[in-house]
Amino acid sequence: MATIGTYPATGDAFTRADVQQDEKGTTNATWTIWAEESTARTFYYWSSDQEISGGPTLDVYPGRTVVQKQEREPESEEDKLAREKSEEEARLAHEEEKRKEEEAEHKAKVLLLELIGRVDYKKFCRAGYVDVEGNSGKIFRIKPGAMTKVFAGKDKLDVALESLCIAMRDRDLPEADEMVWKKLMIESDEKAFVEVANHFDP
Amino acid sequence: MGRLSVLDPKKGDIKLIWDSENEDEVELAEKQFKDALKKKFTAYAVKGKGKKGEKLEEFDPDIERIIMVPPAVGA
Repeated sequence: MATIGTYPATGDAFTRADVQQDEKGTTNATWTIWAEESTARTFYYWSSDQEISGGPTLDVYPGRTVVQKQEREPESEEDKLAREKSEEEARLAHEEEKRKEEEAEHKAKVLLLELIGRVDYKKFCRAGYVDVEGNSGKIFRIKPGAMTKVFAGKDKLDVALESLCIAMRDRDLPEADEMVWKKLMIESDEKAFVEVANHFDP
Repeated sequence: MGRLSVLDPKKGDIKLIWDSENEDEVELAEKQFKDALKKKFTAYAVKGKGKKGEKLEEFDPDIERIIMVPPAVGA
């Protein structure tokens, strides 16, 4: 199905089918640029903070209003250039953001490797977790995400005692940084880690 | 040489390197350290390669590696 626009937040293309899905309210996708379908009716999609003009309002959804127009005036050359410039700027901004995220991920992995050593790092890449020993002798199986399984000791890894749920207040750190954070906290202040966390059955 | 990493989600991973003999560099690193502490970050002195980190309350320019992490919450 033909692409009819892009989501500003991600730069991903969306199709008529995506739009229909959104109209049913089954996704949280939002966009601030207009979208056009070339063959059937023409729709304009606006974010709620934009002024709406022209055309009867079809329906209102959280975060946006859908406006239908019967006809759309041909785009002037000037408007076309402005739109293309704006789209190109959005694309470049998205690429830059993605590049920064990749760079942050890479730096975080280097830091984690430096901290846990090559053996544990390989284990993390293979199995997705690292076992960290607290001062009590308990083993905390840390992995990206909030849940940490707790085991009674190094030789008692078959049955977990409980699961702890703990997160950083700001959750936008790369996964490897999250691993660094948990490891440091468990090793140096296991008590605080356990106290802050919410406790669940394993 | 000392190295400070602040894992700040808002500003990105901040890294600072200082020479403990250079007063200006030490001062800058200490300021960064204190700023992060004010934001409730926790500081750890680390030695790497699987060795355990140690919680730090004050900046020490002779520590070679310091990592500061944001506060935790139950989830």
